[in-house]
Amino acid sequence: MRNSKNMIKDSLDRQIDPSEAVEIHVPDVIPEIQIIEPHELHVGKNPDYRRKTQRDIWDSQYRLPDTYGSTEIVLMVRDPYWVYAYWEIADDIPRAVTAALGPEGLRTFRKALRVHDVTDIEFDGSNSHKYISIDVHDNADNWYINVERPNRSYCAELGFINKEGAFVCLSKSNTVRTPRAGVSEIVDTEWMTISEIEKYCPFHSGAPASPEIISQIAERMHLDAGSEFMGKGPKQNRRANPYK
Amino acid sequence: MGEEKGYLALILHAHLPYIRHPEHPDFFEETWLYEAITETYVPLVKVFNSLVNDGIKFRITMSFTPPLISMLRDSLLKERYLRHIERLIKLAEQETERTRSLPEFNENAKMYLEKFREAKRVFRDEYKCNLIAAFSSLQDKGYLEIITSPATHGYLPLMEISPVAVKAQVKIAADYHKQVFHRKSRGFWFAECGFNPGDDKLLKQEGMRYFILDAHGVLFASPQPRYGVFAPIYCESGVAAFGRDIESSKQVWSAREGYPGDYDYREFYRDIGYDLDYNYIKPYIHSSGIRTGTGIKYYRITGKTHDKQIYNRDRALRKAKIHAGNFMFNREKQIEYLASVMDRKPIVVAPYDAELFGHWWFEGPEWLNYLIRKVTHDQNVFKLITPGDYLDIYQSNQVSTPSLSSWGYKGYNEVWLEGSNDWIYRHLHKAAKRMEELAKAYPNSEGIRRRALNQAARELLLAQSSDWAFIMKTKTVVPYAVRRTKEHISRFTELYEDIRNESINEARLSEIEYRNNIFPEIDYNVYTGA
Repeated sequence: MRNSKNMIKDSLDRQIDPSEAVEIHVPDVIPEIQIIEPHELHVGKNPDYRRKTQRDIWDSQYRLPDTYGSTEIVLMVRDPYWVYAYWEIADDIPRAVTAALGPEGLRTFRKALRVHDVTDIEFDGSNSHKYISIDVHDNADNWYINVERPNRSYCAELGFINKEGAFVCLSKSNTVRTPRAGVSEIVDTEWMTISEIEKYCPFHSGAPASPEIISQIAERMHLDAGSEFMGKGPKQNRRANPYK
Repeated sequence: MGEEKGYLALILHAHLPYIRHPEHPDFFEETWLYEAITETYVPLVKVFNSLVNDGIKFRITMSFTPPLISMLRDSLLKERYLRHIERLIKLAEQETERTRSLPEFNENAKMYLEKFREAKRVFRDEYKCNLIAAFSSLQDKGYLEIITSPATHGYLPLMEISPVAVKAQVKIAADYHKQVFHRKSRGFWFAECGFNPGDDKLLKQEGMRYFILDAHGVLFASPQPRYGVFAPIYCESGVAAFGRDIESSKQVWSAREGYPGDYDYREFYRDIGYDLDYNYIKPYIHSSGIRTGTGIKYYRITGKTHDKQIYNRDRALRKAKIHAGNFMFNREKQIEYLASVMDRKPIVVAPYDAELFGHWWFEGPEWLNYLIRKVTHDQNVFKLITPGDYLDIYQSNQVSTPSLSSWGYKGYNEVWLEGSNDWIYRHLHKAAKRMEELAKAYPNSEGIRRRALNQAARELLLAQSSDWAFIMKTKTVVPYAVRRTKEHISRFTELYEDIRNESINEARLSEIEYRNNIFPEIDYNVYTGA
């Protein structure tokens, strides 16, 4: 954004007619597709894989259970490149599972997640576009998963995996869709009138948004906690204040 | 005088989490409400009323969340506010005495005394302790458009696993809004602008026509929005999404580049609660003896220094006027340009937290006052509008699906889903699932079971407030947020088990009802999903 804001501010300090200080940021270029790369959005590896137990959390008279006695896995979206899974496994692992694990049983199998890309398909357990397997620590009950591609659908399986890669599924999660990290590649325009009497014709010139605006958004979404915008702004002030 | 070329939609989002502790006579977190009344809500009412009295026509959108409305309507909290403001007036009186020989400080002490007396007068005498009526009447007279927000400011994208719980957040809010304001909400403010594609359908079911998103929620919509954020798009449901304008947001939000960081403005962090002699200030801080802010602050931001200079009200107000002029001028240029490249009148959507005005940015209400007056008298490039009015003018809009997004740091769900707060979701989701199970198992119950089911719904809703996860993330009053989460989930679980075991304890239920009395008219049947 160059120095436009500072310029405005300096001018104000000098109490000059605001008209001299103005700079307009509305660009006139057709937006280009801007993709935010994962390495820009997140630094480092899996940001949080450690197990957190309820015991770590400040407690007065109320205590929440560590588990609810079921076997299930739930997926949640964090952003275009990361989903979050939490799970629990009941003590009584079904007979079918122990049978599938074979005579060596749980001893040779480790807990694992399989995260499937199920974009635009009805997932039946074996038809995903691709999947990744993640070994999770035996005590872990949640995991942040880097899914690489935005705007895709994912489903996770919780199960056991052995050295040869054989996977036995205990529970299948819900399916989630990650958001876009940039402008849509689709430009067809369809119009709707709420009265549904008339329809507008599509237009073909560019939208009044530009790479500059898009890059501002990107900047905002990338900046570390030290950034001045949305960083030390009023919302952040709450950090030092018990206000909200 | 030509016709206007475009529109500015100022949107003030007013919200505080539901904090009410009848069991404790002086509960620290309750003061957030009292401060907001004195510093934000009353000053806004006064600004709006002064504009009305001067014959100025304006249109502003405000969202009031159900927890905030519930607190503003609660008789215990009203009583406590009066006690609080009395105490502040006493302190300010004492300060005018103490600073008698320090004219600059004395000026400020008098200003606070005047402000506090005014707050009391407006709150108690003018509106009979009913500030909601003040805003409601401004809506009835055509100045405000008041919209609702999820029932307890639940962050809906992270509730996706339980569609019934999402629906309940929307429906309970819509019903409550109608009950309070005697009309349906035309729009919806998603908590933290957190939107999950498809949630628009729930708004449609409640007769709402629009919602607000952060810029990228609209810019990343598919297909590409033809006008960027300067015109709404329709979801397939026919509900419109408006996107926040980045430039106007930044001018007001950003502490360094934006107006609120100006060196002439009042410094938020230097409060006499921390600065003055302990024994002198002790009766006015928290009863535990811990130093807390009082609201009396004598310094201006001054610069990047600890050596703060004394606040000069006239100088600060002059700056607020200049900033209002600058904001207006930038919007004029922006809208002139947009109008030249668009085949319709652009709308610039500028949403802010209401509590920024007055509480954080002390001069914010005056800035707003100057801005609205200037926009009315000094230019004719644009007019103030509400999103609802814009849709009345432009009924035909591009169809496009907005992106999952929020206005939180990094733009998606991370603020509410990260290492400090991710542990809450397995409990929240389980409780939501159990609530649905209960509603389906015992639909249309009567008597004590109905009461228990309704209270279970209240506990679930209160646990779902996005504020708890936010506090955990921002590390402010973490133990409180953790306690609230655990408390509501535990109470919910207790009720769930009692209902399931058909062993509801009436005395215990009454006690819980008394403590957490939000949504007196709630109907748990919403959780059947029907």
